[in-house]
Amino acid sequence: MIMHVAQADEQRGRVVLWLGASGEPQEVAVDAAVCLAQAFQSEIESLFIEDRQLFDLAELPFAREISLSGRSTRAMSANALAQDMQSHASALHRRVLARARAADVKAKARVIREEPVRALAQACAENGPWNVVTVGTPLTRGTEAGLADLFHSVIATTGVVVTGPRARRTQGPVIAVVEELERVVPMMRAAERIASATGGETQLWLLEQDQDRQDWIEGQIRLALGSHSGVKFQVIDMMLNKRQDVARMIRREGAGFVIARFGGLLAPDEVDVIQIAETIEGPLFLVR
Amino acid sequence: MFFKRLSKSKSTPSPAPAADETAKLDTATSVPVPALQASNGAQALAAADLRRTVDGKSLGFKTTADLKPAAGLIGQDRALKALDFGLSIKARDFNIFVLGPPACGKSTAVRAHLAKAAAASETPSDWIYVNNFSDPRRPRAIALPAGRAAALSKGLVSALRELAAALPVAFETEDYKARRSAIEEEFRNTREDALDAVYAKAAQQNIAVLRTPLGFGMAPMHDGKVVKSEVFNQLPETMRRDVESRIKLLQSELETILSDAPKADKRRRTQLAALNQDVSQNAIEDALDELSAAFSDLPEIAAFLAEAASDLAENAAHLIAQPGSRAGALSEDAFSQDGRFRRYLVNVVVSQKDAKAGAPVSEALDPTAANLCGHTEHIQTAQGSLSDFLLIRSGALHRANGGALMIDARDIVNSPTAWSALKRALKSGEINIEAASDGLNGVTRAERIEPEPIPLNIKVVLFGEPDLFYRLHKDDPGFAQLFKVQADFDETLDRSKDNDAAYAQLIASIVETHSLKPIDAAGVARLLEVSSRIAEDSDKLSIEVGPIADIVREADYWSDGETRKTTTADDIVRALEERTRRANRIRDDVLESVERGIVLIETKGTKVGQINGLSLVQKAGFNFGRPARITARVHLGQGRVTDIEREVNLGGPVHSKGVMILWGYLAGRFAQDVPLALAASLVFEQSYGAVDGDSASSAELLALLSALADTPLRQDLAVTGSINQLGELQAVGGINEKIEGFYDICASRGITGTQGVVIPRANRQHLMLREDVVKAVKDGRFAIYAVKTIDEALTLVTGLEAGDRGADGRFPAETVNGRIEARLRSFAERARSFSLGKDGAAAGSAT
Repeated sequence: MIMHVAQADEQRGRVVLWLGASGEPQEVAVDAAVCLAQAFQSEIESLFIEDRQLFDLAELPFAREISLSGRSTRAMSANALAQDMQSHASALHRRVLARARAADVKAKARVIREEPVRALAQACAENGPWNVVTVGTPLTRGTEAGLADLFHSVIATTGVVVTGPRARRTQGPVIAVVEELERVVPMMRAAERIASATGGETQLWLLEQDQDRQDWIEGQIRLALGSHSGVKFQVIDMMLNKRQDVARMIRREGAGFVIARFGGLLAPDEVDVIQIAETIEGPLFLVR
Repeated sequence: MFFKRLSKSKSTPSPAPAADETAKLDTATSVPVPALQASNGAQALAAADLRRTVDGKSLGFKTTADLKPAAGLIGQDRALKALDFGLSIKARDFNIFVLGPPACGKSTAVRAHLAKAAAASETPSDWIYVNNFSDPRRPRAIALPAGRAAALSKGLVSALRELAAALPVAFETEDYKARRSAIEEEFRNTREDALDAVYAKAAQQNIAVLRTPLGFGMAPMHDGKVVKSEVFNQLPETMRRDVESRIKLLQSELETILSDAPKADKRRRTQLAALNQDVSQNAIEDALDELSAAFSDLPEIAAFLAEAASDLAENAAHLIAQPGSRAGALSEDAFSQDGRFRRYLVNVVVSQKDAKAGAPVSEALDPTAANLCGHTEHIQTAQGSLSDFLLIRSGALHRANGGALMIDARDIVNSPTAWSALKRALKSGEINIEAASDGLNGVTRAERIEPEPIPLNIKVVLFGEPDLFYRLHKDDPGFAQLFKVQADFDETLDRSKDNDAAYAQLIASIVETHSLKPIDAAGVARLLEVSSRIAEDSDKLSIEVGPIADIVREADYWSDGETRKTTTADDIVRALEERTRRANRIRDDVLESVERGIVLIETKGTKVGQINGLSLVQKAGFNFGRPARITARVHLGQGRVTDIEREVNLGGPVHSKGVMILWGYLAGRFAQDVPLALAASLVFEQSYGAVDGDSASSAELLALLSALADTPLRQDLAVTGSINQLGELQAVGGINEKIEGFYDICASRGITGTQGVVIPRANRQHLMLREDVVKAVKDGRFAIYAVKTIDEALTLVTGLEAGDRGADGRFPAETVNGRIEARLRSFAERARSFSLGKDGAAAGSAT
């Protein structure tokens, strides 16, 4: 089960929006966090992580900071860095909280000085079994999030939402990409809940490599979807298509959210996730 | 001594009383009715002189249906020639002012005349405003041959619709996407490859590249973690230096990559723009090709279309950036609301129907500055109040450009901003919308656009009354410079066979215009008589068509009630009677107050120093005459006449002037050898309103002379006419109404047969009296006397000879003048005696 909606007697989960020093958060990433919180009636935690390594860097005697434009450099100090971090965090938190308030979603903000994965693990552990981490900055080559480590270390998370540099919408069809029969129903439910918040239709895409099994599994899925008659279903033959082809198909479909399993056919590792995120125009919700 | 009696006329219905009987005050005896041709020159006019009638049979048609309606003006050759001159002369300061009385149909007639001239003139250009791509605040004005602006506008909308559909398709092709992706990737890869190279190089050297809130930092790593400072400081110095120098080198590389980013991004944008332009070019050319070919003969339009095509290509990506798939289905209005395509549309401000339409002739009914010169509308946006070339609205000058524009002079003069705007446009020879909008409130200059002015080639035809023309000429220098042609409409036409026939055609045109029943010849004859009455001249016809048209329409209404197929003279008479009945309540009140003795007017007997004058009352277009008792008193004094009306500020300046003139006459006639040692007072009895005009000055003089001569005046006569210092009676206005006013009072009391009105002989030609008055005269029951001098009038109203000076320089003692002379001498003597008695020294010096 990838989606576990907190029960009344258990600690409620939340959407943890991971913010950091590395630039401005993607608007779509914030929107994705808000949509998820609306869809699953949870709350947002705007978590600004001050990467401890940056302070280690600032302590070094030769440490210098090169400006984003590359036109100036300055000597680094822990105090100056802390001040910059604080200002940056305040600005980002203000934006997130305002956005959440506008959507009538509960939200809180926190700053943790720690290594990012540890900070996320710590935050999610505090919140109970159901958490979704939304990565605030776009995923690109060179700014990897360490997804494998994240899935491995942050146990109390059911998934991670990432966005690429082209991401510009959460509206549009919610596409659940499945490979295994047992995941069909929970993935569909998750997709339907997200669609109820974004107003899009729900689609189920089955990625199948074995042509002999295709007819059988398609039949099984159609059977399983009996109570989800409004769901659009299609099978994609992965013998004929590559991951990037699927990503382009998703873009052409104008997808809002895409739900896929991290480590599966579409997103086996972070390098592939980055390629897909760079192609599609909506958030990619990676689940275990 | 006996006053000389006048001889009796055959028509005199009653015997003349003895002079001694009339000499008493407050007598009510009859006096002799003078002969038709009085011996002293006064004329009792014959009935035929009182109204010039028209015989319908002489007009030569049965009804107006037989006539060709008059197409324009009649009998206004001078004005028409002036109009033709003003229209023909090629100079922008020779505009036309049409002078004439109100409601004379001059605007209708001039419009018809102008339309005829305009139809034969060249059709002026169409005008459009288009976006100025290099400076949108200054929209460009372009002229097109007549009738082609609408086609251009329609063609552009159609082309843009096609483009709106074609562009997204062009940008959705695999070819475009691939080329775009290649550029994006090239840029991204270039930058990211460079960054990746630095990251990789750094990683190889165990150096971490970390993002900070404001930039990047680099630090040595060990086991994937940044080396803490305490660990780093324990490293050998050579190693530390080596790490530092490597980091410095990498930082330098990173700086170079980052600082090159804007240039690379600019290159990327340039390449993308070039790609968009290239991809859109074919679609744009396809959409505009047909239009460009159709307007290739017009260099300015061809240039505009080329600019538009170029701008479209530059902004192609922007045009498809918004969901525009519905653009093809939008109406023209809705299309203009679409911000993406708005700047390529045209605003047709002047559009001629076709090349053969002729010059336009129009009328500015509400001549404000904006309505004349056009204006720019504004739309409220988040950025404030904005305007553009599509919000330019044309004015009357635009629409009449190349032709003529008619404006009511009073309307425009009463609007100073409009008047200034018109003069500015005429003077500069161009229509400047921005300048005309200067007076608009609530819109700051910064929010305005400044459309290019449009050259103005127009004849402005102002309409107004003569007074306004002369006032403008005197007080407004700009007016005289710009309106050099005066088309002066005569207020009347001479009565002649030709003019009667032309007037009948004019009546036929009224019938046609208002879709009325034809009027028979007798009815037309009657209308000619009415026209003469309006003109107050039996030898003239009034060109005030408005009142005639009203009577014709009312007569048509009354003839409907009689179920006639034509309107007849009876219907005309009925219309006149009914409109009089509707309006004459005040006249009836006056008559009633006289009948009941509230207003004291005598219509028989004689009285000293009292006479019936006649005044004209004008109320809301309805005029009637009202008799007024004028009295005079004399006494010893120092040569001063008291005009009581003036003393209490009820007398106007012209009235005062009349009183002074009569005093001048008195002094000149009787004070050559004795001083005027008298004082006199004159008053309009029971008059409580303002009195002006000098038409009562003859009556006032007669009252004064009567008082001086102590000779009674006939109260069965009324007198009107102004007097000059030589004792001559001069013509006055409203003569018909004044006579009828006295007749009505006499009739209401019962005509005695001796009653009548004394008028200046110069007013004879103005007589167009009511038929009942004419009939009374014809029957010998009423009389109209036309006199030239005050002596003739004096003889009539006293029944005595006025008297001429004899060889001894004295008036015969038995005449009225003789009595006056004697009275004045008596006053002088008494004054002298009084002066001597009072002051012996003075008496001594006088002797």
